[in-house]
Amino acid sequence: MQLLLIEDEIEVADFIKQSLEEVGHTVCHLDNGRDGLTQALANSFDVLIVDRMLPELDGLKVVKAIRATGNQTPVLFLSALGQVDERVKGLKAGADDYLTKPFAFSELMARLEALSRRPPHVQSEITELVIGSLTMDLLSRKVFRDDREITLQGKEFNLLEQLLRNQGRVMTRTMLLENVWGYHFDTGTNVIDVHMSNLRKKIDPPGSSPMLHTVRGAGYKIEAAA
Amino acid sequence: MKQRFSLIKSYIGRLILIYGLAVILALGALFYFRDTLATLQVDSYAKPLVNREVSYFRSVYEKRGLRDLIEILEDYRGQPERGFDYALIKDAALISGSKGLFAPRPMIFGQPFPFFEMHSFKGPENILAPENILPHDFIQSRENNSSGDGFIEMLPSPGGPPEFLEFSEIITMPNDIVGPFNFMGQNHILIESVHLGEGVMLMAAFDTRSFENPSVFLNRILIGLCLLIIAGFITTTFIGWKIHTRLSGINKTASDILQHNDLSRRIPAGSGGSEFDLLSRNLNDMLEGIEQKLEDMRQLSNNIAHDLRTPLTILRNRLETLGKNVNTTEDEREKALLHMDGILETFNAILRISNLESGSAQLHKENINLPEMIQDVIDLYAPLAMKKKQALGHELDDLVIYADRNLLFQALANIIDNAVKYTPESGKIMISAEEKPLSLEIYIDDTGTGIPADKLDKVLTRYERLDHSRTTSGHGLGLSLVKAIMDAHNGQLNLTNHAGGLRVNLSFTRPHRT
Repeated sequence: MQLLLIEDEIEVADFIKQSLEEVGHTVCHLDNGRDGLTQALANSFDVLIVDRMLPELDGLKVVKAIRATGNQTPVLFLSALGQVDERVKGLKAGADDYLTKPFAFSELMARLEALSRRPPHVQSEITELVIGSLTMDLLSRKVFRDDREITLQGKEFNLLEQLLRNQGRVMTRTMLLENVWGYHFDTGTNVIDVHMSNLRKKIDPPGSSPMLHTVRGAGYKIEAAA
Repeated sequence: MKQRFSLIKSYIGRLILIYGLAVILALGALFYFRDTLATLQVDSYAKPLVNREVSYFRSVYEKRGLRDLIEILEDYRGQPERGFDYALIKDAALISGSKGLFAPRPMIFGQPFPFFEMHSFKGPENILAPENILPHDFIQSRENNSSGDGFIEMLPSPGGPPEFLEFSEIITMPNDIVGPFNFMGQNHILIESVHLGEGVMLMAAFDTRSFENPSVFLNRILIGLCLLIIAGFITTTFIGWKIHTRLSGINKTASDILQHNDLSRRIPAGSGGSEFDLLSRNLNDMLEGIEQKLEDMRQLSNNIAHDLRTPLTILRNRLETLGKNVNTTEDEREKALLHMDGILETFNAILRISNLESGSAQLHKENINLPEMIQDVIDLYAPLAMKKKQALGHELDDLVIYADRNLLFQALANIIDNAVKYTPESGKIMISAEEKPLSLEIYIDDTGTGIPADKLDKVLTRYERLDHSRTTSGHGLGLSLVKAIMDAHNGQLNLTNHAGGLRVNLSFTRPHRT
């Protein structure tokens, strides 16, 4: 991925840049809002990572300016301002996601991947999600593995749908909670783990090759059985 | 920082100064217009009276003769309250009455002093003592008054005591000018001289103070006004001084607080209902609030230190062993990460609570379908409850609540989280709600161990975790966050033990919707 990082805290920036480059992404780093804006408009990036508070031009204004030119590159806000209203402000300005400092790198990674592959428009046409031998019919809300129907509870269905829509990518616990329940809230991690272990029992019955994987320190992802 | 009272700097001092100036101006104006007013009184009231008396004397002389007139004049003079004296002259000789008129009066700066002398009047003997004489100017003024209107303005001699003339000199003068004289300087004395015929001339002197004279009344009003203005000035100064002392009490406390950095000081306030008592009490309440807030903040930093120190130390130790140990396993790394996540969780919870408590967090209230939201919470915790074979459910009718969606969900999730944690296996957790006239109540009942009565209060204090729960996971801030959320909604969080469990009650005061 081609990434633009606008962040004035050198240590944070170095860490993000180094970590992202280690996993094979190209990162362009700028330490103030003005230069960042110029760069964002001059070149094409897959995702922009913008700190909320920046010298010269603050993050909100940078994003607003970028959106004003019609540029729709996905933007991920980084911020130490974690309150819900700050988050709403960021999203209203045109950002696509918001990550509060301090954050786990795996969370950042997962969100970046989700953003970079976010299709420009909502996929309303899709009625079926498939991975390997697992099929999800979005209309009838039925799930089959190897033609055997799997009965899922309401939220289990939604969790699986989220994973399928982002197959091959890590979904963090927070992302799953927020996307499925639609609330922004904090909760102990084990709440979602119980859901996932139930889901796993249903889609990966004993004897089958597992599709639902736990990614240590990060979250969950679904992949076609090898 | 002690401020001394200065007339110019102090607002009250300036008010007093301004009022003082106004008093001086008012008094000056009173004195200035007093003579004008008095003259008006003489012209409009006293002179017609004198004219009428003299006409009466003339008619007595014409109808009844000289002897009767003298009798009446003597009778008049004998009554001190009439303030009357006269001189009856025939062929340049005094045949009846006094030889001279008008006593000299006290002088100030060459001017007759206006007020005091008026009250020294005792009787006709004072004005008409034989040695008294008319001032020199009398003649000149009389000569100058050629208009013949009968009134002559007399001015006292400029500088030095006035000169006086023998009374006899007056009557030797040409008598073509007759009439009442306003003996200037003594506005209260009027003289009318009249030719009665056959060489008989009457000079009648009236002390107008003996009339039922409105000018006396006027003078009393003037004096009253003066007294009123002066009394007003004294009162104002007194009030100003009182205000100044009260204010300096407040000022002193304020500067003391600043100087000694001591918020525990209070302004001395009475228990009365005066504005100053109210102000002092309000300021004291404000100080109380600020002190409490500061104390809260101090407590917060202590608690952050306390809550984060232990996990941070453990994490540090873990990281140390990670580095030393070559055989670091993925599992150990994961443990450290989970540990770190726990610390972040605690940190975030503390921040959210203080944000809510400080009131800096904005609520985004909306109408929420309560049963739907509660179903969402139940869906979230159902697997956990199922693992413990607990029954988790709700018995709610359609209810709409006006609240912040994310915060309300957070509150409910925290309560259910606790309930699932502290309710033993095969227990029951039931959510219900009730619409009361003034509030909307949400109840979460469990069949857990409840909370010991003596700890019910403590459990809501931040960072307070019951000892037995220290072993359970979680940062112990769950209920504190619920309380902060309820406070932000102007609602209440109540915990009560009931038969076989704990009841958590969220009470939202109306209007909880719009």
